[in-house]
Amino acid sequence: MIHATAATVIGPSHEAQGGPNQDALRLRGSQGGWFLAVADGLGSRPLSHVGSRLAVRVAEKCLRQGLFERSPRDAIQDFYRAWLTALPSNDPSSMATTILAASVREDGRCSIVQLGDGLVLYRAGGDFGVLTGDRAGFANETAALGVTRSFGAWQHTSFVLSQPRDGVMLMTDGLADDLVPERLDGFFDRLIGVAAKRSRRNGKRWLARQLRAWPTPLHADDKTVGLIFRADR
Amino acid sequence: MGFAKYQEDNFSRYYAASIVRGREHDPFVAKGGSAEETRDTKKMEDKASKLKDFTVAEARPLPVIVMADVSGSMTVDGKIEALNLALKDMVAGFAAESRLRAEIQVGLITFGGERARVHLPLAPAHKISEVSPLRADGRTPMGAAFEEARKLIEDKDMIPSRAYRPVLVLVSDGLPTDDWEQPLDGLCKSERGQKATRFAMAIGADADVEMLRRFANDPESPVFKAHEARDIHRFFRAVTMSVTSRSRSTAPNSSAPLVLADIPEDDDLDLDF
Repeated sequence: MIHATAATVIGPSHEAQGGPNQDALRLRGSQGGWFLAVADGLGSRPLSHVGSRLAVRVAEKCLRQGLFERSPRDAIQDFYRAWLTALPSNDPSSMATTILAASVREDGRCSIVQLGDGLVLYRAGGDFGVLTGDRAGFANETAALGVTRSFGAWQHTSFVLSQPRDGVMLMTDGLADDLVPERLDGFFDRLIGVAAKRSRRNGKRWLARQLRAWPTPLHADDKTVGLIFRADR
Repeated sequence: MGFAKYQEDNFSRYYAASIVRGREHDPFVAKGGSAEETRDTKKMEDKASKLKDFTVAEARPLPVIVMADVSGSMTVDGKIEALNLALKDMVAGFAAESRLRAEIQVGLITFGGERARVHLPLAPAHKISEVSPLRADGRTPMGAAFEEARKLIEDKDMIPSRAYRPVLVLVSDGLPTDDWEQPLDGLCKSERGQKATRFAMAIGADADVEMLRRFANDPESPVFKAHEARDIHRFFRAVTMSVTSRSRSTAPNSSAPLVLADIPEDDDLDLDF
């Protein structure tokens, strides 16, 4: 059986300013499967919180089935066009946002796409993997919807969640940049392990608490994480 | 039956006998200690993260790398003394401000004599207890300093990719005496060097202003020309303000221009301490 949980919290810097959480999260279950999307609006763009909210909503419509029924390129193109159409103005760069999305079917088939920073971790057939490549520049420099046109900037992969505790985890850079690279698998297993023992709502509460009490000094960014996993039984 | 007795009765009947899911916040359910004590413990538990083992313990750095000319000509007109004082004040300014949104780090590369050297390895400003005074002597091997800065900025162990965009500051009063064009291009066009914010200051009439213009990349902060020793101080004060305003900002990656306010000769208030 496939389970899922997710949480998002506003970062201390936006909270102090009274600004919105620029991260957006969407987690929806249907027919035994789950769809998860997280997006991080670019801090330097005035309406990026609008872009990120629309991105996760449109992603559910276009990528939930699209990632299985169409080629990644076609599914991504449809999604990108739908996002541009859904924007309230014709200045997409002012609403630039990253997007990470995972669709998992009841039988464990999983498909993931990512544009921009953040991190995608997964375990398939017991083997741990990281979809996201190394960052070339510095913090907060990223490809994004509304800025990047190249299909080459997208990362995508598919696999099957076949064993207990196989799963996929999506997170924004508020967490991703503060994780020790050598301990990503431990982080993944820890969160799946805790979530597996709790109800979805309880898991969400636990995750939100951890994000609010984030241990890295001077952390300021909004934080969002979501996971879909195969339960023990 | 009084209210307290009524509550006790409820507790023994309904709560002590079974586990009530989703009622962890209820004072009756918590075992041991008073309700207030339990609430405090719970608050402390909530505040302590369970994910410490997986996260880095250092704040995101905002590196500032200064390349300072310590050639023989800097001994004239009190330039090296002014530079020493300005650097000391800059580090102190960063130390006071370096724990806001980002941890300001400072590194100092000097070029004089026959080579460039790392005078102060990149370190958090609040941990730098002292900057040993610079001594000026010999030629101006600026190309070697560009190469040293490029190596530092491309070193992902020293400056991780989670760092905010670094600031490079070049200060010189003369013409480079070594091969500088290729190292300058190497620094300015390197993968990470091109993303750094680069400020430059020309000290005196003999500085190679054209070369410094090629180095500086912030259109709002052209090469600053220092005509006298106190201008050196003005420039570094502007660098300090630019960097600290970034560390206070909600977007520390955006560059902030140098604002060179006119600082009177004697800026201090008349105070007895």
